[in-house]
Amino acid sequence: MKQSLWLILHFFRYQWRERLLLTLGLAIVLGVGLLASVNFFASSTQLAMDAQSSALLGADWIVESTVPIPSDEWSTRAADLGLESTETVEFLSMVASGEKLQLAAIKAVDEAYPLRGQLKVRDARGDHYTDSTPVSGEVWMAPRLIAALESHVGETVEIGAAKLTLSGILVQEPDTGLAFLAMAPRILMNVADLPATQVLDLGSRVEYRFLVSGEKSAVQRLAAEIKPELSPQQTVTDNMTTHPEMVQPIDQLLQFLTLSALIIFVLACLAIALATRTYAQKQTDSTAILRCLGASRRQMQIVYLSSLLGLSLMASFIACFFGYALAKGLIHFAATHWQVNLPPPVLSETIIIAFITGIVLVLGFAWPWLLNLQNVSPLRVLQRQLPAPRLATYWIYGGIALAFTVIWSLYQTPKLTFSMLFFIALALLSFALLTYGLLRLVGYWGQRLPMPWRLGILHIAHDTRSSLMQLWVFSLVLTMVFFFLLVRQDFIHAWKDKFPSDAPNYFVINILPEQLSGVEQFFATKEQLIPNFYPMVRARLIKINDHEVSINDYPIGDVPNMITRDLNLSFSDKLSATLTKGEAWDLSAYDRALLSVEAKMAKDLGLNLGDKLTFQAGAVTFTGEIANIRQVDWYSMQPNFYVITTPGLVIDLPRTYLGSFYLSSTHESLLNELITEFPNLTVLDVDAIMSSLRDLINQGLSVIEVLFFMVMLASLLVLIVIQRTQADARQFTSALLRTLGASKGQLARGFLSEFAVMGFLSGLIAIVLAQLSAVIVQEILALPSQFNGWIFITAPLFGLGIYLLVGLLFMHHMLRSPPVLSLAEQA
Amino acid sequence: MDASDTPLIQATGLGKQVLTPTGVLTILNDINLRINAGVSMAIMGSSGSGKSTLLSLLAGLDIPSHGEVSLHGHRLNTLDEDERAKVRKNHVGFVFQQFHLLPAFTALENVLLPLELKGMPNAREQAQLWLNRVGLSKRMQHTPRQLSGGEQQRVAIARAFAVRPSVIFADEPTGSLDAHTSWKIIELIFETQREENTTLVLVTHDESLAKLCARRMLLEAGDAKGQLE
Repeated sequence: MKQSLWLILHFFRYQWRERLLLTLGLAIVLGVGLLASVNFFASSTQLAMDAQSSALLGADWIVESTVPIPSDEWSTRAADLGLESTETVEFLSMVASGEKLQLAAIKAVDEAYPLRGQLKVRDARGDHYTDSTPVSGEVWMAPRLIAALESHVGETVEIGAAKLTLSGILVQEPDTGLAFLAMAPRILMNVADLPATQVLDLGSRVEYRFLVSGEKSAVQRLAAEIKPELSPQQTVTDNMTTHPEMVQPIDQLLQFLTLSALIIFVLACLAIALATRTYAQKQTDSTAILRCLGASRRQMQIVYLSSLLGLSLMASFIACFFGYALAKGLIHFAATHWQVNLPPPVLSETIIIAFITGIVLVLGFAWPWLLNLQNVSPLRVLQRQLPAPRLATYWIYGGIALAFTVIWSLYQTPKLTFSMLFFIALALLSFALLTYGLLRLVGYWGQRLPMPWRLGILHIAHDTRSSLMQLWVFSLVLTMVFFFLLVRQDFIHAWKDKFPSDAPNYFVINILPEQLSGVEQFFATKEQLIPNFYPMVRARLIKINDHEVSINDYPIGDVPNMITRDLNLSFSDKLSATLTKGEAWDLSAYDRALLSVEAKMAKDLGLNLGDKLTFQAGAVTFTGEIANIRQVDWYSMQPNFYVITTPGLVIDLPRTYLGSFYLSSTHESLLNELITEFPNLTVLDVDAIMSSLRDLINQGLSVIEVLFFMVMLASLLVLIVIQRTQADARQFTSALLRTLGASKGQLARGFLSEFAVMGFLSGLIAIVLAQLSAVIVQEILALPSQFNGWIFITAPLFGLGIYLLVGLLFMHHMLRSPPVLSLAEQA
Repeated sequence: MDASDTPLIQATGLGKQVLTPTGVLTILNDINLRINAGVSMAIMGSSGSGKSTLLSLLAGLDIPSHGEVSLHGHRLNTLDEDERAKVRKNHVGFVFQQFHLLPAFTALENVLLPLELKGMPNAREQAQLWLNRVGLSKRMQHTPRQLSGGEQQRVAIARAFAVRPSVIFADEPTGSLDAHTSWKIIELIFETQREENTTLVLVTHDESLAKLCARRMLLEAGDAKGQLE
């Protein structure tokens, strides 16, 4: 033990002095640091996204109920877990002010409401956010309700038997949704005044909501406790049900973050494996001497394991702080340059993850190389040409398996993990075939070049193993970069296209056919507004091909919603949607009984082209034949319909119109004019959701830019490590050739030709693999694919450029150092 | 029977073959020898004759394809690598043509290395003593890069003898040195060998050097062509 300790201490000191551990240490610090940084950043983004979505709910978790909620008991349970909670009561009722009457959506709240987000009110100061709520005896009302009632702040309004004072103008609630109740203008009152209204009795349609907020795990615990106790009238509400349009961007962004972390993880693995391989190669002779002097394999294992553990602990520790500092810096950068505010990351959790990842990375990708050193034959002291022991293949597979186990357990992304696994397997296979073939080709072609240039090509062709390794690693790095760029490009396209700056932020519903021209005229006078109008007919699906639909046939999924209530059908004389099956129709089909069905509805109900659907609208039934199946983006903020018919089929049925338009905040007074002119219309304000979505997308795009920066850093790290692994061999060749009379210029041309060919080939291989991998990930993340042919030209040139750049840094040093030194060191 | 009659190293029917792309290559063929304690023996032969291979088998650095070899009573051909390492640690010292010092260890640390591996008491004092003895008292804290070839070989000699081994294996110890330095190193090796009564197995192609040994063995293409007393 004493001997081993002496060896450990002296060996560590020796390695430190020789800077043998420097590259490996840097690889761990930078690789793990970048990974930690992405984790910190992901944690921060996750918090921001959670906050954003919670703000739109007004809470972290909600139970909605049509029967009274045992809120006292639940509140106590929530408080025991350190959570905040409150209850709201919502119902529709007529509100009177003077002679005017108007249907309003009333929400009774206490002082704790809202738990997340803030109420926006309007007063002499303009629109601003507030943490207060109406006190007992007072109400706040939406501007369009005030306009419809021709009321003013300070006047009395009547809700049932209660007379309350209008004390504030409510512009926006955090939990505005598109639910039925939200269609009527809002009144906010204090829950203490509710009994005095006397409007709620046994048959009243009331929605009780129990809101909870607090630490995520505590919320999850409470949810797990309460969920089994819920009755059929009580449902849990989250963003998926309330704001499906928010879910996809958040999900995509978080998946992209995970994907970036995976890319950086792979690059960090590569950097550590390469750095350790070089380190192990340099240790081979020392190991042989020690073995020759009688050190046992176990002693060698202890020496290297302790060196590695010491280094990895130290490097992982530094890496965590480096990662945290980098993430903090980037968050600060995003705040000051892009006005994107991300909260600070959860330090304890992410630092532990980063630390464990660092240790696992070292164990998986560094330890096998060092363990392999125990197999160094002491005979090397006599026969230096003896090859160093080759790393057993099972160590490589073991390392990859370990890495993916870590990814699996940390990121919980089976689809992405498997696609990455598939990608790496594909890369391994195709690289092996492609690179070997390409190198043979280069060797053949390179023979015809003049001497200084031929030197580099010959080096590639003759040192096949080393060239293959370099080409393989560099191609993998470039594949990661190109892959990231391709997916990033798809993200940016998908998001920017989805929510243009003039996307509709208001919907007008209940437009009667006879009002349509008047409403169009109203908008036509306002030059900036060009609304789209959609006809809507409410009808219930009753038959599919003469078979009456029954809820018993479709007990689960979304189908009950489609067959137990009226659907909003629309009609059109032409279709511009994306069709997955069948053909679109035009004006010539006006009087034919044709239907266009949304793809998910068709799938859930098992519908096919040619099937006949019968609907009932009041006393009228009508039947149409499915002419096409339509793809609908439910995550967009555009009006969508399950079924669109040809006009002739439903034109005689009672219908209303829905209009959607974009209105800037400076023109909101137009809404009051509209409501005044057409009092029966209801305006739905989705501006809050839109602006949240835009904020989200801006955050997302900024996050993607930050990730790009990190991926590039990780790639550069690997490239530098590769160059360092080759530096000794190149230095020796360079020294030998200079001794034989080669000029620096000739040597430079030789190196340049080598770098150029390697960079170009790597770029070529990488772009093919990246494009293939991007197609797989586009499918997983539901991203529209963008194909750009130019990338097949620019990518190899990019590879060439970056390889030259990194190569030149090292070449400069090689050409400057005296040949005698290099030769002496090799000897 | 006195100590010099005891066979410290014994090889019987020793052979080494390796597999090459063109077939089996015989490097050593049926070597028999006995080396008693305290005796110096030179293994001679031209390049490729198998002398370094024989040294590696006798020192337990490699195992024979056939035959037996024992060192200090240990049958090396039956031991695994770790057991052979233990034998080397306890009984063997090496001096190589390329010195094989750890480049970032100081001269003192290089000599300390086998002493610490063996767990010898007063290792540091012993190492200093040996460096004094080889004339490097003022170069103890220097690393190999700061030492001349001759000085590096002196450190290697100190390292080899410091553990008081039963046998020193020296593989072309002057192969990397000039003639003047070579003779100084040779003198040092033989003088120390005599003083410590250590067995010396010297591999060389230099006949004048071999003549300094008590016994000589000539190898030609893996076959022993004779032994001279």
